Amino acid sequence: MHARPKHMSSRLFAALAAGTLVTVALSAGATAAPAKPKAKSKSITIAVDQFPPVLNDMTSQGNGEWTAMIAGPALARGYKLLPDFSYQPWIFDKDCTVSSPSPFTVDCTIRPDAKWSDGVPITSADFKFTYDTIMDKKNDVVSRNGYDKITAFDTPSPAEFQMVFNSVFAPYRELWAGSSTTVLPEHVLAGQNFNTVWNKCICDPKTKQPISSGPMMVKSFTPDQQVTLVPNPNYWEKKATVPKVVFIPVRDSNAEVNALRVGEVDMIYPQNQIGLRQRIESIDGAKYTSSLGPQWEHFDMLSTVPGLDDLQVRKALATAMPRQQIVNRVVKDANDNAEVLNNTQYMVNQQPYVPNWSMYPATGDVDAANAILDAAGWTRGSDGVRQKGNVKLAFTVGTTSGNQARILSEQIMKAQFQKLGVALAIKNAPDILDTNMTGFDFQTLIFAWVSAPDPYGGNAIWLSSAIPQQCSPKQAKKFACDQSGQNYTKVRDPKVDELLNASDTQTDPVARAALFNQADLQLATNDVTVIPLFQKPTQLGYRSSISGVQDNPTQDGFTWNIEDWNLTP
Amino acid sequence: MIAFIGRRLLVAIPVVLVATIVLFALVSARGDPLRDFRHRPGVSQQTLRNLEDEYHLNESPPVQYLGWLGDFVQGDWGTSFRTQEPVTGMVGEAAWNSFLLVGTTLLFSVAVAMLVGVLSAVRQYSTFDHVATGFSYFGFSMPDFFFALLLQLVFVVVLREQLGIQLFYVQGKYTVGHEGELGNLLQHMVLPVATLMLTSVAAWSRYQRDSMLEVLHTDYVRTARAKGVPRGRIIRRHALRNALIPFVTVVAIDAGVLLGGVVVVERVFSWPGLGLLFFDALERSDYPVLLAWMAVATVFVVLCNLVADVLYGVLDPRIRVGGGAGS
Repeated sequence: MHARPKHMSSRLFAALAAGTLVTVALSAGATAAPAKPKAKSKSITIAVDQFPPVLNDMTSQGNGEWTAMIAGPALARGYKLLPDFSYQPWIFDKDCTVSSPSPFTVDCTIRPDAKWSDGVPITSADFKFTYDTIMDKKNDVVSRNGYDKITAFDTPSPAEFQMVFNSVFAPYRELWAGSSTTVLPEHVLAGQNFNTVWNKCICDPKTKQPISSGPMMVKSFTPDQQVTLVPNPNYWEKKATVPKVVFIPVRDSNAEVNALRVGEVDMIYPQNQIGLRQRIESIDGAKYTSSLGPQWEHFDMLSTVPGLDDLQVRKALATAMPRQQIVNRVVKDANDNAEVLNNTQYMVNQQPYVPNWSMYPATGDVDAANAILDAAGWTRGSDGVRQKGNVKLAFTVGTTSGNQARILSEQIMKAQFQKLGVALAIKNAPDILDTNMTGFDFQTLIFAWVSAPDPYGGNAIWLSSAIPQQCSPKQAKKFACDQSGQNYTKVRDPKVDELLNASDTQTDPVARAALFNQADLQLATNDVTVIPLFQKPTQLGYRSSISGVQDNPTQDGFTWNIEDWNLTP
Repeated sequence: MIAFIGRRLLVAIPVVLVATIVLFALVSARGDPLRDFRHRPGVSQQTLRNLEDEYHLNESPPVQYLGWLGDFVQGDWGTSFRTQEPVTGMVGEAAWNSFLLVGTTLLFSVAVAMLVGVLSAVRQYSTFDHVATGFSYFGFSMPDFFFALLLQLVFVVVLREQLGIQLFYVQGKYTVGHEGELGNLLQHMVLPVATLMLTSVAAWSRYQRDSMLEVLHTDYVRTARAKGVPRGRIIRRHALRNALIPFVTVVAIDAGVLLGGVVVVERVFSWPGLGLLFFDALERSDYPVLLAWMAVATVFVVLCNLVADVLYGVLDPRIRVGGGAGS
């Protein structure tokens, strides 16, 4: 009696199963065609983990690491920043020269063959137009630093211009080097709204044709989806040979590696991660390269916090800090050359670098640190934590939540400082740098500053005058704090102020570097509010079929020599 | 039926309003929406005042909310702070892309979950039933992002490296150079859809199994068997239809929950949908997009619940009648 119904149910479900399988098979049929390698071989696809919303790197809205690397090859600058942090004249035919010390005057000359992709020569009028655009208050430019010291901008001929400054301005090269210092085409942008004109294209807004002064042109841009660069046929230097470079968003770093592995992308440049190098190097036909860039990681102590207001405590922490262990565990994996950073003004791979902080042993000396604290009168309590009077050496350490490398650094420090009788409680938050830091609602922090070839930009971290106004945590939550200074550890050292102010007016490079190094030594011996840890390595993975790739850890990024890239079959 | 839908719609409206009030308060709690603008050197006071007026930021929070709601209802969703594009277009395009994933996931998940659930119930304690139960536990316990990466590894990386073929992709909607090709689109959809299906199929197949078992043990099914009605007919015409009532309800409600899964899955697969839009808006404090996104998500979830109610009414007329009698 049950035999028939059972058969019936079997048929029913066989039919249902067949239907489902057919549906799946139909879609699988559509999926069975392998990707066409032909199309890929003629282009390079690059994964972007933070896709730029707009293309204009000079506006605060567009300014960013990836915008510079994507739009950079289409827009030449006065100088190119080389991987060794030096300046190489690009549009300029030679290094700009100081023609008068008072008033401080700088003369620059332009290469006679430099021209825009539409054939119009690049002239001093373009530089003047750029300067005017930057200084126009209507424009949302990312920075006017340095330009605002110019009192006169003269263009005696199309091939030369002269900048007169209101005081000696030694880092004048920075005005025409690096990201957000692009030279703008006057004949194309005059009369346009600079805040929006290059949001969706780097083009002539009247004809919509791409405009370029570099080796590539931006052929198309779809926000959040794709940017395509093609060679600029009228480039006035070595022409690019790769027919097309496409940037696409790949947000997840694991997916980036997988995409490189299967050939969906040809290059990846993710944020520094532990274990990434090994994963890239294990890919057949992929290469890995890493550079030590201008981003440097550090441990900050707010010098007004009870306990941390004692220089001997800060020195003891610097003495015990196991910086070598942090380097070994956090960044050595990414870059064999990674080492402990012993300077707050210059990076290890910069010529003026002097290891001023090597007075603090890289491996961390617990005995010496204990001796410093003992001598300073800090005694261990019953809980093992040192104290003096009512003040205990128990602090919080914070960083951005989810940053695994920094969390590892925190754990290493916590374990080490425990041996000193200093308790460190990890207290991370996603917006710790936006709110806690600016509201001085922290005790110690780990994060990174981004430096530049010339350290003058970092003065805002050290000058007494750069301590932001007192800002309550409540104000910080509302982002209503003064952001003009970045001296968040509240270091006040008249000698550092004097040395850094002197560096601003010293044009001799050797003497200037000496001033920065003296300031750094003073910070290391007399202040110790910011302990340098290491330079953050960049991590670039790419198909070995692409030759000529060389990473550039400066703001110019790895696309800096795109004209040297070649595709081999 | 129309009266029934109308009643449910009237109930849905206050739910949407309350949800948007809560979400508006949450987004507002992130701080000054114009903070990025205030720190930009070139932004004039006039521009800031215009933005404050546009987004009613000088008003009290309740008035701000009402102003935003009024604009939203009239289709004025503002301009993205991040891209300077109209928010309607951005959300619309992202919603369509997410719909492709969610719609396909729903279609396949319902088919597979029904099939597995019914088979498990009909063959209770069989090998198939045990395997299906095991799969459900696996599906419940597997985090979306991890399963997504696992699928990438097995079905893209291993296939590519071991067999030299590429059936599926790890990122994006199209391969560069193949934009607009349907086949390429489907290839890109398979893994995100499979990821989203995992939890859905795991949960829904259990519901369907339990529901089916309950119906198979009812008196009227026993009577039908006793009267000699063929088993297949009993399952199709008597058991399945009744067992579908809770199943359909759960599916309709869970469709809203799928939007949460999309946020994770789209990030892993770089799929340009609502999930990625949400991340971008959150990271760059894109206030107009965040608010619009939240509102759209709220309406979507409430609509899913509405659909569940309506389908419940369609499948079980007693509910409509009961609702009518009660009103």
